[in-house]
Amino acid sequence: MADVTETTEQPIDYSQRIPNNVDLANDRNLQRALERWQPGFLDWWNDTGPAHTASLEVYLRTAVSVDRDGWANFAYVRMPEYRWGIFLTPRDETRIIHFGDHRGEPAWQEVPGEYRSPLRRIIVTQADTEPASVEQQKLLGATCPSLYDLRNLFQVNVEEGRHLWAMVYLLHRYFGRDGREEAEALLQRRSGDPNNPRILTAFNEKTSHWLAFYMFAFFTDRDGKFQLASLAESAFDPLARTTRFMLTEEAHHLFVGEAGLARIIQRTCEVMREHDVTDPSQVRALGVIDLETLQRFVNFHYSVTLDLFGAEISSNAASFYTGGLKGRYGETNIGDDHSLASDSYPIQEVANGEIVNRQAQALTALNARLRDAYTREVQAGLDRWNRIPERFGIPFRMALPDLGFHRKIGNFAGQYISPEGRVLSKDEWEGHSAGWLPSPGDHEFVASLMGRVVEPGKFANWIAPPARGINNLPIEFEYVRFN
Amino acid sequence: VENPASFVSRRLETVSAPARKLFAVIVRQAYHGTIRPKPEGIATPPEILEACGLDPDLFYHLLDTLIEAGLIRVSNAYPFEEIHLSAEAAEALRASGQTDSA
Repeated sequence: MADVTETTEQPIDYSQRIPNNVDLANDRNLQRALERWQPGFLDWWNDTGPAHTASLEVYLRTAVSVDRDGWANFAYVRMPEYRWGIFLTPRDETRIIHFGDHRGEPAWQEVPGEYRSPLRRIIVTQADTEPASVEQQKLLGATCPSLYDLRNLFQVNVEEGRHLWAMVYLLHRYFGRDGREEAEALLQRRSGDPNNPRILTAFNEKTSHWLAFYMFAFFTDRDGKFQLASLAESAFDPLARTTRFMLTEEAHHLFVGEAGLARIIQRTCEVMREHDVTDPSQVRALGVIDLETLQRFVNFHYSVTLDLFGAEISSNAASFYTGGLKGRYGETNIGDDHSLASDSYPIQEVANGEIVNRQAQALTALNARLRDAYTREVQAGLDRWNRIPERFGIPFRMALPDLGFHRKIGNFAGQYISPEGRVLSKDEWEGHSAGWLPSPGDHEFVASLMGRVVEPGKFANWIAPPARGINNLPIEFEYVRFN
Repeated sequence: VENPASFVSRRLETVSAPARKLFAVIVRQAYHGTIRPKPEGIATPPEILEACGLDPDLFYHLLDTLIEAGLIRVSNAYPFEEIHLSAEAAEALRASGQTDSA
């Protein structure tokens, strides 16, 4: 990212009904429009947000500045009273467009007419994922493994709600009546509703237990991070500034997922060592999740998240890039001509019964490129997890399945690929896939472990407490107060 | 032996701006973080990551940078790391009053 040499920073104004740093008070029409949208948002939160939580006091962080050095304040808050607001990183007056046909031109402060429709589509698709995940996680509070974890869930939920505000601001401010209608529709769609579902398939699946929540936070929220990071390169400056601040909040969601899964692996390894067992059924009998089951959940969540990146070859992605709407991950730091006119990029596909590499036009392979960056980061997370069984002397190691495994979109849709990347017949797939993906029995077993632990300092048996060795003190902070 | 008063500033000059910012967050959390019972002078990844908005990947990379620069040391294994200021950094910050409890 370029050094910011001239920035226009607007402090966050918490005296307003809608906290913001976009000088909303001086745009009365916009302010009124958003204030009309606000009750609908609160109705949506009360209807589909965390169930039975309105009176809980939760130790939450709230953004008080867009400066990374000190941007959050921590306090007990009742979630319906959370100060959802509109926060953009400071404007860089000198910012120019770094890629595509408009490279070198000043970043846009308004939406060019020719890009109005695709930009609105990009924003609506991103926006739709934010309330969807809150809806998917609505019931998890009833089975929390600790107050610490419950509070982390709620922190993620309120911030996804704030991300919805961030996107709705853009729709209201820059897209007129169309934008206002889209903002209303965001409150009408519901995750899993067959009549009015969320836009992306993965956001209509249930998050039915805490293992699925942590997997979602690690794998699927990370897709969100990569999409946001690409939009942070956009020529449309308000979108870039909005998504940059969203990334600051999103980073913690990824940590919640990574650390949650690491604590599950830790606990399983502790029990395996303590009782000297390795057989999954024996491990399960001790009330923890066996490593083989965790691997099946990794296979599932990784593969369905890869589908969110779209087809490897995409003319839409190419036109978004050429138009300057959506860049590559870390675009500004890439040392090429930022036009991709004559570059190539390796992609994988099935040919003659095996997976082969071929060079594709880089411009049309942008989805594959973004997905590959995602995979590298996910692998780094798995490498950290694998230190845990290694430390316990347990030979099991988590591994990512092949890119082609269990895919519904792109080059591998309709193919049968094993986790190791072997092309299978349909019969072979059907004979083996139950061992590679979570079965109804796996879900049933995991769900059977989920109880509700809300005594400060106590944790469910299947997950390790978040910190160890601090004078053996319990983690007894009252993260959530029940009144 | 380096002068404690200038130890931190000289070592910080050798690391990137994001690493310097992370060090500032570690100091703040180690001495002023009150989210859970713990001895003064220790910070843990959950509180640091929540306070600074860094990706876990970048966080672990920057942590290595700060270790190499002699500004911090890490005890306990992933994911339960405890991050301490190095003895020299702690002494320098104590001398400058930056470790006084709020």
